[in-house]
Amino acid sequence: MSNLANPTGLSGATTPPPPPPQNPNLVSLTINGKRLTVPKGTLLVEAAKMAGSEIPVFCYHPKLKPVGACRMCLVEIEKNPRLQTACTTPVSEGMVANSVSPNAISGQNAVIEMLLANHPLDCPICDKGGECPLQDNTFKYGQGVSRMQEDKRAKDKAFALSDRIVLDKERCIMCYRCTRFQSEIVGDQALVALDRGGESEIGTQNGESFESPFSGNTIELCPVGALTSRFYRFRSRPWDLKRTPSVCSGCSMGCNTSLHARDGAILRMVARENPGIDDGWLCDKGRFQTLPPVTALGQVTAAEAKQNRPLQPLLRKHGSLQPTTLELALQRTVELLRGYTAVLASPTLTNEAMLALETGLRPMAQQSQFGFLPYVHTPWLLQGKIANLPFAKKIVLLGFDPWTELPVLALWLRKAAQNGGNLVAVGQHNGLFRDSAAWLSVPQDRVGDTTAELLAALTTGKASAPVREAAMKLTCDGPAVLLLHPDLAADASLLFLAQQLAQQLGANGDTGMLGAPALAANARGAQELAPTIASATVSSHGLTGILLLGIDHLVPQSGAKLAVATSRAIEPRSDVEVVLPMLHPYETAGTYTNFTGQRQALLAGGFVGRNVPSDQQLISHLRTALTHRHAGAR
Amino acid sequence: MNPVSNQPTGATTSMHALSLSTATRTAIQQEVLRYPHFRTALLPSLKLAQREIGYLPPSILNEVADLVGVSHAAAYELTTFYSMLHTKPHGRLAVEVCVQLPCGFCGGERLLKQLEAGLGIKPGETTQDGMLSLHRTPECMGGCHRSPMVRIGDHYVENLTAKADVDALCAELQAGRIPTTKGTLNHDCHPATANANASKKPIEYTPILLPRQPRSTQVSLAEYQASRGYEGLKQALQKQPAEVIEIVKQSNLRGRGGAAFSAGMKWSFVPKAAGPKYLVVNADESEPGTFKDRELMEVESHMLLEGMAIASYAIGCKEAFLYLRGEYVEAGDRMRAAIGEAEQQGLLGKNILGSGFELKIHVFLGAGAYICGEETALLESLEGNRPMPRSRPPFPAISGLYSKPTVVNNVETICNVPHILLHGADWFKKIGPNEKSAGPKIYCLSGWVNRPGNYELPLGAVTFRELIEHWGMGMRDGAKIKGVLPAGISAPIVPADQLDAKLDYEGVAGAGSMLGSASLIVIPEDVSIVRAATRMLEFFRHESCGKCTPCREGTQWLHKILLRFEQGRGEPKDLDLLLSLSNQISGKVLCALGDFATSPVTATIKHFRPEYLAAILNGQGARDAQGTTDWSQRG
Repeated sequence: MSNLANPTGLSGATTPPPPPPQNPNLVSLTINGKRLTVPKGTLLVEAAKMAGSEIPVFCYHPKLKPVGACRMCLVEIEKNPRLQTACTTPVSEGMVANSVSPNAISGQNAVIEMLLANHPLDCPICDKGGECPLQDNTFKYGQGVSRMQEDKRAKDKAFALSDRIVLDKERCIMCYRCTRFQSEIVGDQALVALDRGGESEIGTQNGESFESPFSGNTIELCPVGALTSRFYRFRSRPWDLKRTPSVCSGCSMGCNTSLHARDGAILRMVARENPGIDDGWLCDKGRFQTLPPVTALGQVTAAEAKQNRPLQPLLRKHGSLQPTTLELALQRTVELLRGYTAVLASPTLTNEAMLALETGLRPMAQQSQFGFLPYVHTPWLLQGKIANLPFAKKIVLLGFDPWTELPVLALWLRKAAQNGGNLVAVGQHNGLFRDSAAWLSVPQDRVGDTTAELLAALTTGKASAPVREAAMKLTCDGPAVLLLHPDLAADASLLFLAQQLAQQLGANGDTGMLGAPALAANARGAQELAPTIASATVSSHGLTGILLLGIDHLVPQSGAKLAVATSRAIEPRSDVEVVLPMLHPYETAGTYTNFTGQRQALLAGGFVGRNVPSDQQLISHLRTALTHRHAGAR
Repeated sequence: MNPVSNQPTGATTSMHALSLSTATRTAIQQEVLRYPHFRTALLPSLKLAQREIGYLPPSILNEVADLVGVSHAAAYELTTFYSMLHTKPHGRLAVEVCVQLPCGFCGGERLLKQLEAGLGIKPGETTQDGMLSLHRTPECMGGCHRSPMVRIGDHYVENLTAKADVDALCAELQAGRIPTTKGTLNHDCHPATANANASKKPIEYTPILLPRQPRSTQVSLAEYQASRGYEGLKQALQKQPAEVIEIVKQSNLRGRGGAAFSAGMKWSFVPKAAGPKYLVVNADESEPGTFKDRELMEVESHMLLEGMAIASYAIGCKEAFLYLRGEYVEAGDRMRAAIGEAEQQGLLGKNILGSGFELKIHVFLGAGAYICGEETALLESLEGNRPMPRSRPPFPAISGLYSKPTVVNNVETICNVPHILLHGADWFKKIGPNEKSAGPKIYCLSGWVNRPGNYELPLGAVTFRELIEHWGMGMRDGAKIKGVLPAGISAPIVPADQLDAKLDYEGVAGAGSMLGSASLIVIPEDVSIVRAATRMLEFFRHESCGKCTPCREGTQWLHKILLRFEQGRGEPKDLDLLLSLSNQISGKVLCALGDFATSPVTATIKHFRPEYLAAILNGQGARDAQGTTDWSQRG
């Protein structure tokens, strides 16, 4: 065990040169005096990481194509008279690279000085301060002085690109990460570079808003404080944030996130890369629209004051909702559930709550109807892993537009299309139209007919020309993916056709993906753990009382009295009898099951007070109260 | 802004209702189908739309984007890059005056002042009726041998030396007419001052590339064929493509665009495997002081086409592109006409000369961006992207246009090819004193000489001084030479005491500079070098694409410091800062433009440091020898 401290056995200068590599797919090189062997085609900047050396970057990002724009990663390579950018240089056998030589350091100093020449250096008021690559690289690789005596470029400092993103044009260093993300990863070119030379800036078509389902990722990609979130702007400093790993509740994709909270209030949610689920991206719906209302910090704006969510139980007394105790609120809820009543639960509850609902609450309230809102049951449970998707060669989407329903799934399908997969979409909407081999654009109620025609084209060859052309794209070999919209799957004949088509394409869960995906955040968990409730349909006619569990919006007024368990602000409607505060999924520990059946843990990222129960706790409180009612009745 | 008076002529509808005519929409739809990739049609489509509307407001940009099939933002990003595309109303007759070197000190600034007075508007302004606008442009337009000059829409008006001509121009413009091109005869640039006493030329030589000088009219197909035109192509088609490449390799033909890389070698890098390959001819002649490709295309159009056909045959290309700078509308029109003639005679198109070889040539015009002369930026421009240089490897020969193998050659390089095929590699090698870099070379001579123009001579046959004395007919007014910029403004200035260097790659390198594309700008002794350097940096700042940090930030910074010197607000230590910043740019940038941008600074400080110090002495600023503080009294 004596060589534990140096497990490679290499000891620097005395080591003889290693023999040429046996494997032609490997390349040996030296970086900053350290010899190492890496896969052929590795970029020097990545090889340096493996060698334990950091080469500073701005424009380089492992998920984007290298452009060599910022020049921060200049290194000296033996036998090369010019400094080279490590981000665009693939390793080669025998390469000797140096990022700490006087020449390389002078290159790094030069780039930092040039970048800062027109940068406002307003770090004290910048959101990015404290987590800013420009700041970090300046400290590590800059000279700490400026020779610029000319006036800096003055530009717009708070340009609203959209209602989500604000651009500080002075801070931007033109690394093109954001514009490359929109054109390479998303493919919509919604954000572009404008003008040229020193006047270059990023922007959109004059006067148009930066609209893309994935725009928020550009905030995270930005290596300076140029792209900022409207919600997070000026709300905190990075070092004051508590970071908690969690899972997005926006849809059933199950994208991994990190919740950033200050004093218990969740101020932002960022991506936490899971290469098997989200590839490091989040959609805007998840990023911006799923956070619980900010309360712990107090009211910052009038709009937020309105959003104020209840943190203690409320009971209708003398015509208005007034604070009460949990016991009284539970008692009133139990009374409300007497007679012809319903319990409607959100499919965004945790698995633990689902189980409590099915096995704990439902048996105690048998006269009430139980159901999910929205309805979550899918008759064709999805098979297959997300990791299969980039290799799919045949992809059929039936009435299902992942671009809007499961946005991050769309990015995976885009990857497949770019790898040579043929995507055929049938239906009214197709956000992946740029990447589609064919789009049979028909109204949703005609998806069945077109599916039948597509199947016929593949089997008998009898079909209209456009359908035959689309079918031609699906005759290649390789893994297949077929996804049917769960709402359409309720139509048994369409379901049958879809399953036949999947069989015809050879789709299976081992190499591809097939089924009607559950769409709501924990809809699959609901179906698996609360099957009776998930498959039940609730008749709303003539109900006298309804308990809403975790549902964001009130059901339409119907004469029924409402008990509302929520983590959001509620409309003070006259039919609301009881309000039970509940923790948001981001404030509780639990698990979610994503649309492929993968279970993932949520941890409490925010804190709103000890007295607010989680969804699971609330359900068990209700169960206890119901038990008492039964006991009392007996 | 008065939106009504700024409306283009004929447009009576309000701004938000602007839309394209059916004719333009149809033309755009045809563009979309014309090229191998639809996105290539974006730039031509934007130009078609601007031609109709006068500029590109958001509604029009969106309409074009939708027709081509790109995002609205993508159309806008392209529009804002190119200086010839406008998002704001622009005078219907936009008068652009070149003030770059050499025009700037050869009467360009004087002309600008005269036009200001004559038209009653300042640079950047538009007349009340929206008809006329006046622009001072730091961008050279390829009329240096006929300076001073202006561009009005698609037209050049050149040789505006006489006050009477300027007055006539103003009168025409105010009447709403575009004057026709003046003074197009190459050897007739400054006839009044031609030096009749020029001694006998040191060598006798019969031009090959420009055999019909002086001439400005296009050579017809019949005329070209009468002088053995297209016989080189016939020769080539009887050989295997590999043989053709070998002959060109053997001839030692080096690229004439500036980099001087062996043309045959470049062709041989193209993979032999089947699949699309492209020839792209670089006619984005935008280096200040360069105007040779313009004359070749306008006059010897068929020589270029024949060369393109041979090169395409050699590399296995069926679809070639000729990329002209946007200002070369006349050259583009003539090239299109020549292609029509050649296709009719079966010299281009399908089954050329019965050989089974086919070639389609696209004439593609840019829209005002010097960076498009950089070959990878040019390819990006062709693909409908912002023309920003790509990082290499991969080289275009492996992954070029549409990521397919591509050869990019300069116009002049390609014009040599028919002659090599016709007369053989050995014949070519014998032209000029140096077999290793042989052949004819067109020297663009401009600046303060009596007879600027394109002079074709064997590469390396003469010295700077001989070219200026015997072909340029000496200096105007007998002025002394301060120095010569040998490769436009991109290479270090060669001071007066080094002008006996031979004009070939080695000779000019020996004088501390580069031959490049051989565009010699002669600067007279009395011109302030500080002002000249400032003007050159204004160009690089204006033309930097902005992709890489050192060039984007560095060119502006250098220019700002030089402006201080020009205005007399500098300190001696700023010279060290200029040199240090140049060092921080040079060798650290993505493409050669950034390196080029530093030589006007470093070389002028090296040779003329006292002038810089004089400019900041007592804050007097840059002064020409006569004590003038600008060039508006010159030329």
